[in-house]
Amino acid sequence: MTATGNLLGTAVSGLLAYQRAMAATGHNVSNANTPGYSRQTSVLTAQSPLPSGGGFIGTGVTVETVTRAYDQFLTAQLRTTTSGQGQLSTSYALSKQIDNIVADPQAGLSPALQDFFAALQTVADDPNASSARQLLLSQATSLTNRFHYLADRFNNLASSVNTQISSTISQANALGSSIAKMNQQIYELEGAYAGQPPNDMLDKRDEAIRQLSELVAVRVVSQDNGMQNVFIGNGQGLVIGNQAAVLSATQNEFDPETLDVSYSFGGGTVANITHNITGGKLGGVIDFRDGLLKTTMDQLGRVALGLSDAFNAQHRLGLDQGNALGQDFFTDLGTQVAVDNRTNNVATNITLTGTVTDIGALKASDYRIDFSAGIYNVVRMSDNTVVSASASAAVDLTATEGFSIAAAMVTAPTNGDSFMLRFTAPAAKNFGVSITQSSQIALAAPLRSSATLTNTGNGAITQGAVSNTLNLPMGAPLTLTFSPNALGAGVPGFTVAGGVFGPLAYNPATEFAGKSFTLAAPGPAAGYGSYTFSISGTPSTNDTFIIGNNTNAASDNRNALKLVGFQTNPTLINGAAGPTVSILGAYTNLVADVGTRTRQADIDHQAQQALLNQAVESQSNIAGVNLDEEAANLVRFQQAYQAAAQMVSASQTMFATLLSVTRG
Amino acid sequence: MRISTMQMQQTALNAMLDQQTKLSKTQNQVASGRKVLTPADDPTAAAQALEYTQQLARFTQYQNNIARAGSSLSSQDETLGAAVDQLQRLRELAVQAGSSTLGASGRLAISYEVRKLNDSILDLANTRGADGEYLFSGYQTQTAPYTDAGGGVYTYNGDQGQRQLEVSPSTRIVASDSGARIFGALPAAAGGLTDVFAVISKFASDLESNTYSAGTIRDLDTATASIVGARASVGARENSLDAIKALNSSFTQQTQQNLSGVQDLDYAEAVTRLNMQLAGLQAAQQAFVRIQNLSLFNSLR
Repeated sequence: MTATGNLLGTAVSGLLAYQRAMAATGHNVSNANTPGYSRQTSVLTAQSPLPSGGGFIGTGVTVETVTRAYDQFLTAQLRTTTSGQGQLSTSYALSKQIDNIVADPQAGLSPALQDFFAALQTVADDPNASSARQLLLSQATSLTNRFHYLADRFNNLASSVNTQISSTISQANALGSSIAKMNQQIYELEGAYAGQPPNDMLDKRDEAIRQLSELVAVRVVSQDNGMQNVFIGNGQGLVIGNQAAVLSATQNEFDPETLDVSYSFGGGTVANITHNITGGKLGGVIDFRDGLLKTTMDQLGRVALGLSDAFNAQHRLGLDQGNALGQDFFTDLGTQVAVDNRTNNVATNITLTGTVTDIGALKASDYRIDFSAGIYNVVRMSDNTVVSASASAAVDLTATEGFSIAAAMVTAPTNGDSFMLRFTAPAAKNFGVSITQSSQIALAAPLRSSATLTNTGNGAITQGAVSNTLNLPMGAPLTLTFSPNALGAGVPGFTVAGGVFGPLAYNPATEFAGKSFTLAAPGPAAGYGSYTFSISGTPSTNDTFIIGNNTNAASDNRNALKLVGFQTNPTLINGAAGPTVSILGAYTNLVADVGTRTRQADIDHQAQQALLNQAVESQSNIAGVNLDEEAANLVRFQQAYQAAAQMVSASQTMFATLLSVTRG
Repeated sequence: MRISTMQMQQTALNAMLDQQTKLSKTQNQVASGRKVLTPADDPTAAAQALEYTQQLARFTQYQNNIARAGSSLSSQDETLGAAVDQLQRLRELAVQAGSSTLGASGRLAISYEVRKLNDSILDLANTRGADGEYLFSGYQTQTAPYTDAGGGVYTYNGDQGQRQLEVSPSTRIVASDSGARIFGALPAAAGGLTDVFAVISKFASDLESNTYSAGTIRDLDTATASIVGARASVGARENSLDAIKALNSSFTQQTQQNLSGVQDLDYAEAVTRLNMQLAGLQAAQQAFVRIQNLSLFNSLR
C-alpha cells in the first residue's frame, strides 16, 4: 500500500513542480523584452524522505521558491553609469546647440564685426561723404542686431534649461513617490508570504530607481524590512521608507529668470540644493548652464562691452561734422547697479553702482558682494575668489578687476545680505548705437598744427593726437616761436604764446630728427587734451608754429584711423604689458573655446556611453532572458513532466495488477 | 557565458546606429565641401578659419583703400602736370616779353594770355575731386584753397592737413596734399615769399604797364620746380601703392590657400571614407538579418 501510494504522490509532485518550472519559463519568454525584467528560476528541491528500516525513501520534488537573477553590484554600477551618461549626454546635446550657433561663418558675430570695420575704413577714406557715414551707422545697427540675435539664442537656451529643470523635477517627484509606494507594497508582500521575494515588484522598483538615476545621481541604501532609501545631492533623502521628498523649481535669489532646484522633506524647510545636484539630466543641465552657457554669454558680453567702451572712449576724443567733440557712439554698458538678494533684510537700502574703469582688466564674470561682520566681501563668481574685503562699500578694483564700486547708503545692510553685480552677462543684450545722426560721427581730431608759411627755416610740425578733452576746444590758438635763447642764453627752444605753457626746449643741432611734445600739465589746468605732436628740422629764429582748433576739417580722418585701429589692436585681457587680445580675437577665442569644450563633452559622453553599454550588457547577461536557453529549459521540463506522467501511469498499472491479484 | 536575447539585438542595433551617424557626418562633409562643420569638429581649425576670413576681409578693404588713394593721387598728378604745362608756356611768354624789340602793344597782347593762364592755374589749384571735394585745401576740403583777394594778392584758405589712408597693416599713404606749399611759400627773386598766382599776376600787370621785371623768369622757374617736386612726390607714392598692392594680393592669395587648407574637404579621402562606411553599414545589416533567423524555438516543431 505504502509503496504504491508513495509512488503516485512522488509522480504527482513531479507533475506539479515541472508545471511550475514551465510556468516560470513561460513567464521569462513572455517578458523577454520587458525593460527591467529579471529572469526568474524555480528552485526545485527534493521533498523530505520517509524514513524506514530500509533507509530513507524519497517522496518527490517541490518548488522551494522562485528567484530572480540579480546582482546587486551590477545593478548599482548600472545606476551610476546611467547617471553619468544622463549628465554627459544632456550637457553635450546642449553644448552642441551653442556649437551650432557659432558654427555658421555667416551667422556668427565675425562677419558683422568685419562689415562694421569695413564701413569704418570706407568712411576713413572719405570722411565727408554722407553716404559712407550713413553706411557706418547702418552697419553699427546690423552689428547691434547680431549681438542681440546671439544674446537671444543664448537666452533661449537658458530658458530651455529652465524648462528642462522643471520637467525633470516633476518626473523625479513622480518616480520618488512611486518608489515610496512600492517600498510599502514590498514590505507588506514579504510579510504576508513568509519572506518569499515578490520578484516582479522588486524588478519594478529597481527599474523606477534606474529611471530616477537617468534624472539625477542616486545612492541607494537597502533596509532590513525590504525597503530601499534613495538619496540625491550630498545626502538629501528623496525616498525614506514609504515617504518621498518634494523637489521644486524655484526662482534664483538674484535673478528671477533663472530656476534653481529646491528640496523639502515632509513639509519641512525648503533648501536650495542646486549646487549639490550631481549626475543625471538635472546635473547635466545645471552643469551646462553654470559652465559653457555662462562663460560663453560672459565672453560675448565682454566683446560687446570691450567694443563699446574702447570705441566710445576714442570717439569722444574726435570732432564731428558740427565741430563738436564726439559723444558716445555706442550705448554705455560700463555702468551697472548691483541687484539685491531677494532674501536681504527689507530695511537694507544701499545702492552699489559698479563702473568699468579698465576694460583690459575686466574679467568675464559676475561679482557678488557679501556683507558679513561689517565687511563687504567682493567675490568673483567665475572662480569663487574673494577679490576684496573692505569695511567700506566703495572700493576701487581697477588694477585687478577693471572696475570700481560707488555706494549710496540710506540704511546699512544687515549681516548676511548680498548683492550681485554683472557687467558682461547683460552686455550683448543691451548693446546699442547711441548716436542718431551720421554727422555726429567724430572722425576728425580736435586740434591741428601748422607751420607758418613765411617761416624761413625747414622746421616742420606733425599733426598730433589728443588723449583727453581737457580745455578743448581751445579759446585761442597757441603760437610756438623759435628762439636760440628761449630757455635762457644759449638754450634754444620755443616760447609759447596764447596759453600758460612755459617755453619748450628744442635743440635743432641734436634734435632735428624729431622731438615729441605733449601739451599737458604744467599748463592751464592740465593742458590742452594732452595734444602730442613732434617738431623736426631746423627752424630759423622767429619761425612760428600754430596749434589751434581743427574747425571745418571735412576730410580729416585722424580719429577715424584711431577707431579703425580697434579692429586689430589689443583691447582686452591685460597681460604684463597691457591688453593682449583684440575685439575680433576675443570672439575667435570664444568660438575656439566653445569648440574645444563641445568636443570634450562629445568625447566624455561617448566614453560614458561605452561604459553604460558595458554595464547594461553585464547586467543583462545575468538578468536578461536568453530565448535559446528558455527553449532548452522548456524541452528539459517538458521531458521531465512527461516522465512524471509515465510514473502516474506506471503506478496505476501497478495498482491494477495488485487489484487483479486479490480479485483472483 | 550567456547573453540575453534582447541585449544581443540591442548591440547589433547600436552598431548600425553608430555606422549611420558616421555616414551622415561624412555625407554632410561631402555635401558642404567643408572639413570642419562646427567648431567642435576641430576647434583650432575653426579659430584659424575665422582669423583667415577676418584677414581676407581686412585686405580686401586695404585694396579698396589703395584704389581710393590711387584715384586721388592720379587726379593730383594730372592737375599738377597741367599746371606745369601752363607754367612752361608762361616761361616762353616771359622770354618773349623780355625781348627789347617788343613794343607796348606787343606786351599788352601777351598780358591777355598771361592773365588767362593765371586763371587757368588758379582753377587747377582749386580742382575738385570726383566726390566734389577740393584736392589741395588740406583737411578743409569744403573750402576752395586759393581765392583772388584783388590787387594781385591771393590767399590760401586751407590748412596743412594731409589725409592718410591705411593701405596695409603697417603702411599709411598720404592721399591728399596741402596746396600751401605747392603753389605758395615760394622764395621770391625780390626777397620774401610769394605764390605762383602773385608771380603771374605781377608779370601780367608789368606787361600791361609796358615793363618787364628780370626776376619773372626766376620766379616762374621756382614755381615750376615746386610743382614738379610735388608731382614727383605724388608719383613716388603712386609707385609705392602699386608695390603694396602687389604685396597685398600675394598675401591674400596665400591666406586663401591657408583658409582652404584648414576648412576645405579632401574629397578623395572623404569619398573613400564614405565607401568604407557604406560597406560597414551593409555588412552590419546583413549580419543582423541572418542572426535574427537563428532561434532554437524555430527547431521545436
